[in-house]
Amino acid sequence: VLIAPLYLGLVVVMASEMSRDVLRASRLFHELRASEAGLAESEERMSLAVDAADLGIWIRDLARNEIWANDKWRELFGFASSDPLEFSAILQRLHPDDRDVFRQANAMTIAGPDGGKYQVEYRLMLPDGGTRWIISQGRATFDAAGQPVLIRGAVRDITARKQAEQESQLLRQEIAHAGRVSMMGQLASGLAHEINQPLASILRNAEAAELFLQHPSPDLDEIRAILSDIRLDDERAGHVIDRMRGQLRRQTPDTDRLDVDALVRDVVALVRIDAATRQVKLDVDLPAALPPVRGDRVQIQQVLLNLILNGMDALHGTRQEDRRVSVTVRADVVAAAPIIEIAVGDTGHGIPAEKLELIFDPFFTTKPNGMGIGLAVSRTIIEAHNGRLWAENRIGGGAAFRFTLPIAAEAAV
Amino acid sequence: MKVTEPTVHIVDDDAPFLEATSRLLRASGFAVKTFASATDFLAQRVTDAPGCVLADVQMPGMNGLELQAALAQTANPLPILFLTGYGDIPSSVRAMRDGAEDFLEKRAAKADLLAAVTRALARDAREREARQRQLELRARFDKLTAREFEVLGHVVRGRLNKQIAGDLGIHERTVKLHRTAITTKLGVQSVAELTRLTGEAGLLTESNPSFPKGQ
Repeated sequence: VLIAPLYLGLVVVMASEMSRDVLRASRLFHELRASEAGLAESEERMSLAVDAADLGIWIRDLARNEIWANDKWRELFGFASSDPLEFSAILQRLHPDDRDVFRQANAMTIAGPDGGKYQVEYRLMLPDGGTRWIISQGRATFDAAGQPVLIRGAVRDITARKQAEQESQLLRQEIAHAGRVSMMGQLASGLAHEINQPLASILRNAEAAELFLQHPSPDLDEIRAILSDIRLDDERAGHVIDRMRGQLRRQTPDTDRLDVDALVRDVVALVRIDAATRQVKLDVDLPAALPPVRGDRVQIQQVLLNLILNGMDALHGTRQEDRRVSVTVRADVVAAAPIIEIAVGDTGHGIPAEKLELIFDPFFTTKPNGMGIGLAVSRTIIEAHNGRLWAENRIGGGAAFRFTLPIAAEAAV
Repeated sequence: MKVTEPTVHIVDDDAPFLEATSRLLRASGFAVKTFASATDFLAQRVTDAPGCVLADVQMPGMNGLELQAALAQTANPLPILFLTGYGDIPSSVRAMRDGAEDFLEKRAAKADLLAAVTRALARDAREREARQRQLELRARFDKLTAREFEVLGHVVRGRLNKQIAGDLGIHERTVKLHRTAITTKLGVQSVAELTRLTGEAGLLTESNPSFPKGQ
């Protein structure tokens, strides 16, 4: 998982650099070759740059219907240096599901609606049956008449990044799943009560209707009103069921000794990609030699993940240079009890004072697609661990969510 | 006192359930009034109306148990039946200990609900009659003078006229006069009847300071 940010960094750098430096380099490479000027020194520098970036470079000459590629490209796509390169043969190396994407990118580039540039990600089918993920970026050159002459491009192996992303997504799903499971416990009794209410109304209404019908001249208006109410109560129960849907059975939380440092780092690694994608700067302040806490790793990570993702959500609509989320950990002693306090701060718009407590109520949400349970569940989890979770506004702007966890007893001695 | 039909007072914050329960009880021949909250009920009810209360335990604001406590303080403590969404043991134990007529789940069988309501109304009728009789008795005892009350205390403990005269430092003849006045005012014929009536009126109790302790 820790590999992910490294690769992400590389890819982000690559994405912005590739279109300029690398393509400039490849153009230079081609021009050198075309002119046959043989400027050995420049060629040496050029190939050094391409090798250093570990890039596969290719050029497709549309007029002559020729494709040239460097050794790295041939290695990635599984062609020997002597193999002739043809578009259809290259296409065969692609994963069948990704061929259309590749074809469309090529067609678009030649048609030039987007300035003749493209960037796609696709999978290659390796001879050993494996899959290799490739990011490919390229640009077409047009002649004076506006006809495409050349397409130049660079490719890079992003398999490791893709795997890291998938692992990270799996882990996140695992954590989110654990969250749903523990949430169920909190909601179960409330939902049972909510669903019992309409069911009880339906029962009484049906019984009343039966009795009214026994009357020699039944009051049909009354019976119509009853039937209409039964329908409404059925809908009411249905809404409750909808909310319960997808919730799973309850599990008992574990109480392991947890290394706070590793716990926080794991979660931070999980959200690095999100943070980079949303252009949020994520600051982490983890003092050395923190004592361990006791609890359910997945549940506590769920809380921290939830708070960090909330923090990033809170930055919506703020200027990019102001988007920061900080995770600060410190050991403290509160009421003679040693604790660990983990704070997640953001530079968003803060929380109206009257809502600082309300936001922890189940089904309270400020997000258009929010269920309003994240914070309620988080608080339940932290309180089950004998800790506290609360929100406050930071003096410099933005909100901070803080939670405490008691230090594992034997560590506190 | 205005004579009104015994009424089932339903108190529940859930409007659809309130209406549904009201319909069932009306269809079953009961007079029904509905209230959306305990405070509404306490404020709007006919204070001396006979009947019973059917209340949800879980209500925002004043809950069912608080309503029970408030109702017990009034001159017309109607029997209370509790309804609950799910079997809430601590609440039901407390409610029953505090004299709740019954504790039913909201989806209890109709027969159980109707039987419980019928029992609650019967209990109210019984208690109402007992309270009424007490009031009448008390009115009769109120006609006694302080001295006659004192003599009564001795008589119901089975003391003879001579002993009473000795205890109170009066003539035996005076004791006889007091006894005649007492039996006339209370409309009784015998000592046995006098003793029973005094008991019914709740006057022959250890805690009643009007009566000196026996020797």
